[in-house]
Parts: sequence; C-alpha cells; structure tokens
Amino acid sequence: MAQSVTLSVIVTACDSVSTLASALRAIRTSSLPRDAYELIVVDDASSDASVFIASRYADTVVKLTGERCGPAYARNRGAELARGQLIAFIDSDVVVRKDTLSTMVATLADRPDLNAISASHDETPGSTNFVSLYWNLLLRFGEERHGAHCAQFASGCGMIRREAFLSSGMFDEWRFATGCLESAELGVRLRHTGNGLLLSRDLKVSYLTRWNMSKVCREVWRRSRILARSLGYVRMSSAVPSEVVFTLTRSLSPVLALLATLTLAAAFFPAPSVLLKTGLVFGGLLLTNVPLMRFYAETRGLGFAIAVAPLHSLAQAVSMIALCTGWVLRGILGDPSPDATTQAYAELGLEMWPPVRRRR
Amino acid sequence: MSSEAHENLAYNASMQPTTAFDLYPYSTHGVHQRENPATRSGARRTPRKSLIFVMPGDRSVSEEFLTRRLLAHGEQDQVDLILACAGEPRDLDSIQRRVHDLQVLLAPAGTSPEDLRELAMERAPGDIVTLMSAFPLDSAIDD
Repeated sequence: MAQSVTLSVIVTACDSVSTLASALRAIRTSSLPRDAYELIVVDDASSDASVFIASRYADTVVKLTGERCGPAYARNRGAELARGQLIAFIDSDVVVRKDTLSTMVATLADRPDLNAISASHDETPGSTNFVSLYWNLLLRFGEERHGAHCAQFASGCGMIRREAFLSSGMFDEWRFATGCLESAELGVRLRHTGNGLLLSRDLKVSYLTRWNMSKVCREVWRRSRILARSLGYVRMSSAVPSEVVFTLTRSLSPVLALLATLTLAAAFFPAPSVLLKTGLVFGGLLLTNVPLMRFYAETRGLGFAIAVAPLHSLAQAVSMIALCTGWVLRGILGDPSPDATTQAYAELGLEMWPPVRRRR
Repeated sequence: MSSEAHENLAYNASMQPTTAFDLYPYSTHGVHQRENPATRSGARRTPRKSLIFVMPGDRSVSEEFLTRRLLAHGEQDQVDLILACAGEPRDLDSIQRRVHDLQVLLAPAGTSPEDLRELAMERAPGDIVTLMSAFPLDSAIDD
C-alpha cells in the first residue's frame, strides 16, 4: 500500500455475508490502479462472517462491537481513518463496474465545481425476481427523471471530496440510527453549504439485494415515516425529488381529490355503485402513474407494467399511511433522538471505543 | 477458504477440529497470547490496533527487510503484530527475537494470500485491523 493514496473506498457491512464478497471483488477488479486507493471495510457488529470476508480483500477492517449504530455511524468511523483526498462510500450490496471508480475520480478532477458525484441504479439488479425488478426500476425512474436537478448524494455508490465531507459535518449519525435517508439529508446539507453535487444517470451500478413484498413495504414505511417526522416532506421534495417516497406519493394528490369528489357526489346519489366508485379511483390512480408505467413498459414490457400496478398501489398506500404516521409522531414526540444513555454519554463527552454517537 | 486449502488439511486427521480455525494445521509462534482488554472490561478509551503481515509462500524475503518492516510499524503505535506465513520462513527465530511480541501464524505452504488473511483475522484482537503484504509491492500479490 502506498503511503499516499488518492482515494479511500469505504464499504460498510452488517450481516452482509451474501453480497459482501461480490461487492469487494468488484472494487478490487476495477480499472483503478491498486496503489491509487485504499479499501476500508467497517463492520457494524455483524453476527455473521462478514469480518472474515472483508479481511480477504480490504486493507483495513474496522470491527465495531456492541450495539449496532447504523451505516451513517459506520461510514463516519471509516472516514475518520481515510487517508485519501477523495472518499467513496459503497454499500455492501453494490457491484461497481470496472470503470465506475475511475470515471468518478476523473470527473471530480475535471470539474472543480463538483464536490460529490453519485452513481445511479442500473436496469438489471443482481436479483431478478419480480419484486426486486419492480423496486430497482422504481428507484431508477426517480433518478432518471429528477437526477439532474436534485441534491442527492447516493451513499450506495457515491464519491465526495474529503474536505467537503468533513466541513459539512459528515453523516448525521445522531438522528439516523438505521440506514434510511441519511445520504439524502447529507446531500441537502452539502447543497446548502454551496457544494456542487451530481447524480449521474450514466454511471450505473448494480444492487444485489433480493427484495420481497414485505421488505419493500417495510422500506417504504421506514423512508416515508422518517421523511415526514425528521426531514420535512415539502423541503425534501424540492431538494431531492428523485427520492422514491416522492415517486410514490407525488401522484396521490389527484387521486385523493378524486376520492373526495366521489365521496361528496355520494351525498347526492342515493344508491351509488361501489364497483363504479372503486373502478374510478383505481382508474385515476393508474392515470396519475402513466409516466412510471410507461417507463416499466419500455424497460421490461407491457405485461410487466400491468403486473406491477397492484404492487405499486400497495406501496403507495403504505407510503401515504407512513407519512401520516410520521406527521403525527412529529407533532407528539418531535424529532427522534438516541436513547437516554447515549445522550448522557454524548453530553459528558466520554472518550471510549466504539465512540458514542456524535451530535452534529 | 479455498478448496486447495481444505485439501491441504486432509492429512492432519488427528486434530479433531471444532471450529473453522482449528481445521487449519497452523501453529502460532507468539511469545504469549495476550488478554484482549475488550473482552475483559467491555470498553476502552481508544481502539485497539492490529497489523497483519501476510507472507505467501511463493516468494522469499530477507530477514533483515522483514524485520525492518515489522519494527517500523510496530514502533509507530501500540499495535499487535501478526505475521501470517504460508510455509515456515527462514530465520523465523531470529525475526522473533528482534521483533518483540510478534505473533506468527504458520499455515501450510501453498495457502493463498486470501486464506492467510482470513486465518490471521481470526487471531487479530484489534478493533482496527490493517492487512498488509510482507513484500513492498503488495498489490502484485494481493490481487
């Protein structure tokens, strides 16, 4: 390992035994010269063999023990050890292409106005089951449509100048104890402090995670709830329009308006047909999702687009309920914060390893 | 662990292994197995560091060079030094005399660098573990 490296690649892992080897192998076989980067793997208290898989490829392995503190915390610990002027964050389920890292380095070298660059989802995820394809393309749709104008820093595969990362206050490990929207929040903060960000539609990486319906619903629920409770829907919708929650809920307003109109109309018609009303609402829902359905049809065929419609409606419903829950929780409990013990330790400024979650 | 490595283990049937690590006919030439403070007290002020030097058997390195490299890293900080070798290096006793607290992990000749790294990781008590090749051009070996 050379004494000075241009780039520090940080991969966080947490029970990632099924995907970590592929992710690390892809980094090691990338076209970037081996002595140009260091590979740091931060293991967030995995209970599986992630640490040993990491040791096969990494230059440095950081073993966090005790309570899991989430990817934001783990990435920050990795960044504290990083020696490169550029820091790349790559998730343990992401397979970079041979030229992804070198293109990112070259782009940041050519464009001094940019401080961070991210890659987007490709059209062919590692798992090709129906739900994984649906979810992957849903994320891809948001990135293609709004990527050029958003302040998104995709931590799945994103590269940032070290100075910009440190001066922006790093990831918010205090509020984001689970992996969810912490990179979107960082992106907004970077943009507010005058940093240029690019979510490239041409730089694509493959995600290996296998999704099923329950996993998608849980992810949508988490993202929507945190968005409403911690970050603010309106503020984020203008800053990060590519976020999947907005792809899901942007079209819901006209449907809700239609539903309200039908409910009102029911007052004047003594025996309205329930079937007709349901059909109208679903028809309206499909109409408002035409751009997305067209994208699905173009990418995977008309049959796939039709088959995806019920699943998409379910995800939209989950997102809507989660947003309402988040708003209510924000009103009653306010912004989430760590448990009392963590807060007390942080207040005292206790020096220990692993460090207490830090307030930004 | 690669299939070749497993094949190399086959001859040592008398070991009656209980864990993946025990499967390996390794031997540790450490001066002593130090107690890990992490497991003793549960918390520390600073992270414990380990440094693993991987030495595959297909190349040789002079005792002088290896000792200098180990000492350079060992003196920088309070680190646990582990030398993982595929096959027994020449002048091992001399290296151990000069580098105090060096733990040596001997695996059969032909063990791949990746398997050596994995085996050494099981012995590394550090919170932050740095893995290096014992050779100056580590990329040529590790890749």
